[in-house]
Amino acid sequence: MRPMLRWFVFAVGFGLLPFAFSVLIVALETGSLLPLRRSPELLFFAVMICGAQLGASFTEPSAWLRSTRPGVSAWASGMFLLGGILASGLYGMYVDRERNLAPACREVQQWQVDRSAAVPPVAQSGNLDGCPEDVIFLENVFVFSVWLAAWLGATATATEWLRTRRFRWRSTKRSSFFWPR
Amino acid sequence: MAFYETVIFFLAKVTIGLLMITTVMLLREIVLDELEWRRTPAARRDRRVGPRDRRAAAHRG
Repeated sequence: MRPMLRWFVFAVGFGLLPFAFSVLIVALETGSLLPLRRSPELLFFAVMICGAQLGASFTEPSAWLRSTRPGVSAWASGMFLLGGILASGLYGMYVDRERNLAPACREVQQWQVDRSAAVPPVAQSGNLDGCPEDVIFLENVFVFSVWLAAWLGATATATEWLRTRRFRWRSTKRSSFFWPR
Repeated sequence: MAFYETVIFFLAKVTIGLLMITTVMLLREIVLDELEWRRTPAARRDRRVGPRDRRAAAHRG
């Protein structure tokens, strides 16, 4: 299997699998994708990408990682470490907040699933009970997770390209800006 | 919002910015390496694969 194809199947594809199932289930249950604004699956994808790329860097070092521009590859590995830890932190925050969600929010979530009433129960009772803050917080985490997943995916794909290509000219001739010879 | 949540959100913003810079750095690596490779004699040798190149090689002996 070609290295880049392997990368897309086993790291990107498997990392996005929970989000794909989430999209499928939400679409089938509610007929709408709006509940996905509160989902932590992209953080899982970010952690998975970082882990795969860090593991590959340490266990299967290539010509680029070993000798060419060690500064650039070290910087990229550091970013994966930082990104992975940060995505895990965001995941923990998200799950903690969802675990302690206000009861009114639970009613809204249930309403989004079964649609037994025409309007959400919170709107009927007027008792918001800390729900908007929780919702805004969870949606903020989701926005961060989209940005993190997108840029980690781009960085990891570029790193994988450099890692799995054949040994080339620039690798042998030039010194690095970060690591001059 | 708790203090540690504020801190993690701030760190997330910084990290996303750094990731953008890193992506540009890596793309620059890829493009520069490809351009430099194309200028090497080995790459030119690799490219000479057509019938005209074979005839020229035969003529040279």
